[in-house]
Amino acid sequence: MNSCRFKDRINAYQLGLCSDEERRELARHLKHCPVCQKELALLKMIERELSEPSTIGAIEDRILLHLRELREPTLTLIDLAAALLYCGLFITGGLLILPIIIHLPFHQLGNLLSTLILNNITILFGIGIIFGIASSIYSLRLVGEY
Amino acid sequence: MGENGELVRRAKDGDERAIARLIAIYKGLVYTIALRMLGDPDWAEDITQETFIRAFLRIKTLKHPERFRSWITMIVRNLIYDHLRKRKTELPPPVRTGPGVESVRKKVIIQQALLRLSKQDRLLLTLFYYQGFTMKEIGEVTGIPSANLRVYLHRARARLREELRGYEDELLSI
Repeated sequence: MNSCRFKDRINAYQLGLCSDEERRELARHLKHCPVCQKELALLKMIERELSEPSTIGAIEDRILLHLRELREPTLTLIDLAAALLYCGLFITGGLLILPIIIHLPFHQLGNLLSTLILNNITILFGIGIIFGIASSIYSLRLVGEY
Repeated sequence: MGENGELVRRAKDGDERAIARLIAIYKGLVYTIALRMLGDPDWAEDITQETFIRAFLRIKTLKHPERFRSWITMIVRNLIYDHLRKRKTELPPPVRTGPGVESVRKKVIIQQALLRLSKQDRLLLTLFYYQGFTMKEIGEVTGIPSANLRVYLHRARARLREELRGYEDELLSI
């Protein structure tokens, strides 16, 4: 005999998904049904096989080497080109906004601001370059770290 | 914080000995998941290495060191899913486990049956039987609500059992 009406319930029985009554009934049934005993043995065998972990050799050194290579800080021409682009955009943006500021109804504030800017254009230009280089390198490092 | 939590904290600071120790502790887990999901030792080894590289480049984003195991399991899961997506038109390679002995035949039969299941079923079965995973962790990694996990597991086992139809006598005699 290769079939039994309880056979398909052995899976649930082993997982503890049966009601107490069904569990007791199946436990009694298992004592004398070779079909269900075989089914339970098979499920336990599958469980043992799947519980056995697979092993892999030593990979630690290879991974550490990769990590060191990826974390090596490098400044490339691309970094410098990006920095100059950031600076250019920053300064261009600032110069475009300047006429808008001067022509605001609060023209006295605008005049004061424009005077300050024009008198200190060199300082502002320098700050713009430094800020541009710093922000481009920082953003490229974040991307590079991935 | 347990020993592993301390190792994670040191790894975040760039301590290579802590990183090496974490790899040694978790490489079995990562490799087992990759091998069960992909069926090929070479692919599994590549995925395992990639998992750790990605994990340690991003480790500063891990806010709770005690969750390192679930976190790294999610990384390997995502890499496996990407790998399967890229290779979806390819047949999986024949299962290889090494030089032939009788007990290897059992592993090959079960692995081949696993590969015929959906990736969710494979992942669920692998995590459930890997020692130490709580139902909560399995739920986090698979996206299945913890309350429904046993039912999903029951169905996954039933499908695996169906894939093994015809091999019962051979499996029990080995």
